[in-house]
Amino acid sequence: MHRPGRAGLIHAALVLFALALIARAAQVQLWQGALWTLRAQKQHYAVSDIPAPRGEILDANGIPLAESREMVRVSVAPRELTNSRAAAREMDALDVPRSWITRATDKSRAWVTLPGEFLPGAAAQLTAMRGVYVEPVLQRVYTLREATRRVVGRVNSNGEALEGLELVLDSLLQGRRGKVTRARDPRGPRFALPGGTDVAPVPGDDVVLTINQALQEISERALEEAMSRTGADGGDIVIIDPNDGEIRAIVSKRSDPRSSGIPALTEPFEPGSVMKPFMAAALLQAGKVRPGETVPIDGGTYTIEGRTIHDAERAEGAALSLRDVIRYSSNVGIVKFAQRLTPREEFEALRDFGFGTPTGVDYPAEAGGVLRPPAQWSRQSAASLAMGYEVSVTPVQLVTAYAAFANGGELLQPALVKEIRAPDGTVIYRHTRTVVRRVVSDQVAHTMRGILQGVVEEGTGKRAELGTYSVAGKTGTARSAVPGKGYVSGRYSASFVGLFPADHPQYVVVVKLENPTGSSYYAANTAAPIMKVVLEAAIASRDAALDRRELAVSESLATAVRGGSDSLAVTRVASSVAPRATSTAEPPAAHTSPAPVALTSAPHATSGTAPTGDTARVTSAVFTLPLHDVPAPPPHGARAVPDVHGLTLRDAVYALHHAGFHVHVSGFGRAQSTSPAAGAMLQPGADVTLVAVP
Amino acid sequence: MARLVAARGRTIIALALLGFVLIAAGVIWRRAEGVAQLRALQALDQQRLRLEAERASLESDIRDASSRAVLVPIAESRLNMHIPSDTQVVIITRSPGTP
Repeated sequence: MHRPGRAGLIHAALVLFALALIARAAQVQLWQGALWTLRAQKQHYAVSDIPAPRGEILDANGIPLAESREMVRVSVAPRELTNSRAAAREMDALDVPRSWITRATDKSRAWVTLPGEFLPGAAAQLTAMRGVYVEPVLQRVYTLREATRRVVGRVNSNGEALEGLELVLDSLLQGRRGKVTRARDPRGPRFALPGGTDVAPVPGDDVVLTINQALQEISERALEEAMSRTGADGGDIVIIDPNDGEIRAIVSKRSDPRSSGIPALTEPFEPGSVMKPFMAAALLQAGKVRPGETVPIDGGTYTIEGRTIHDAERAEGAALSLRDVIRYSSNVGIVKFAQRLTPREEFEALRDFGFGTPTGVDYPAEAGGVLRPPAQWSRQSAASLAMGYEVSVTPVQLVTAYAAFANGGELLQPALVKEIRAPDGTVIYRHTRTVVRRVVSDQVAHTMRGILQGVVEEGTGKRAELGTYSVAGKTGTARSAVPGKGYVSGRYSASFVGLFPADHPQYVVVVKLENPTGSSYYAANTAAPIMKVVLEAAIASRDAALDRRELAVSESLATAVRGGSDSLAVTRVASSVAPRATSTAEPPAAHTSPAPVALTSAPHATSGTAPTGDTARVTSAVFTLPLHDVPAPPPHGARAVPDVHGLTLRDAVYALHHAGFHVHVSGFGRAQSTSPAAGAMLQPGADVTLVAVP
Repeated sequence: MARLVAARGRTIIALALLGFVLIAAGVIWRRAEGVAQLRALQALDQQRLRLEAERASLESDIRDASSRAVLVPIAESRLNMHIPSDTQVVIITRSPGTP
């Protein structure tokens, strides 16, 4: 029998060892393969989230009001630092607090995340060091202006929406987070793998507001100055385009630092005399009065249901027409006229104008105000409502209701969001004019514009009057109630609602001041001048959402009426001149839009067109070029951005200029796209960025 | 003869080992090169992000600096300018087609 030798045993042992290795390898590879692969992947790779850029919020002209900016959050592993002194120096340059620098260079600590977020460029020296780790974060940056920030709202440091439009539109703005697989490097940094199985983040949708930033800034400055001049506790200015319901500016300021949101939407107030036109419109609509019809005003004092009503200013004469009642804001007159309406009719008229219910504007909080049904009225309520008491309204409700006078009698739903665009530029929502209901006929609306024009030209709103353009409006000064105390002496709200220009309004503006404490608290002296300041600045600004072509027509009409028909030869008189010129007469059968007029003596200097009482005004020179063959402008100024894709840069710029837009060119070569995209409806004068590629 | 066979066998083994070493070196070089490229790519990507963030920041600064809120007070105080009244503004319209 052959006995195995020593070598044989060793060979056998080696073979067994090799077999064991093969068996173990088979076990690892075949049976446990998936487990070890997973473990290896965990060690070699890390999957991390990529934050999705939050959509931008832009003004109507494409100016960013809120945008996401990529910043970095820096963490330090002190034990991995090779040069702690240099790291401390770099942290100091980034204004990291001294205590945090000490902590971040303390070798006894494993990991320290520095407070705050840094611009990647500013932190580049630090983040290049060994032991320093960065995490990209998206920081939300807002426009500097407080009033606009109130509209836009804000997000917290984690990107969660807290208030304003950021909150309302959060689901659209936030986008979808992505995922990226990064390879771990033993030296620290992690690398994104090219061609890895990443899920790309989907940016949020961009939201274009109806707000015009220039007009917003004009309004904010005017309000700040007025508050400082009159000592008011707060104020609101809202400007709306009465033709499509788009809110062009909404500014609220309060001296109380705890104030948040948009008080113009959330804080109702008793408006006082600015409500009188609604009574007048209801009476005219019901056919219960004619504008020239008079009532006796009893010397400005009238007692009804045990309550004595006074007029603030005693008008001349024993009786006032409806037109003069509004013009001189006679309490006695409007109360007497309102007696022709039943309580139900009075209530329904105010309700139809939208009072007592929220307007439905796209904002997380909106007050509906108070308008009690007749069953809850006292015996004095009908008279109080006629004078604008026992009813509370928000400035936005007020401006929306006045817009019905401006647009021919339709109550529109106000809008703050003009357009929502997907990241690829596709428009997924565009605001369209939404008529809530017709509240008065076109004829009554026209008559009301004439009456309100009289308020500015000869009545309480004179300080809102412009030299070149006609303005219509109404003042309102009301006592303010304090909760638990009732009306307190010396507390008033002063408001003015104006239509500009009066013949074909492009703006309806409400100005409201809370508790002005200056020499005169009356709206005629406090709120009305603010309207004038806003309008003058808007006219002087090139991008304040005014259709200048139409404004030139209004200017010509105002000039023609003020200068008298003898001094000008009007070759094609607009039909709307007649109602304006005969504003003291009965309304015409039907209102027609103004058409262009041509002056045979153009350019024509209309010296001395400034209103009386403003002798310091510079003599004006109004030039209007012939418009013989010009088609009438569209009913409202918005027009579509033309499609210039593929055109040469020169042709594309010409096409955009020709369409009435200001063009900013980015790149050179052929036109590729525009921002806003082709088809977007913009006001003339809006900025359009043209992107060209070689 | 046997010696010749043995030498041939050693040569084959040596060549095989050399091939293995070369292939392994190639694989390692390729991986090292790949990681280096990845680092360069990463650095470029970060530089792009840095520049984009800086551009956005500068654009935002320009917008703020050129806003009415900043310019109007400066124009009024330093240049003694004022916002014109409406009578001082001349609107000149032109008909479409005018060059």
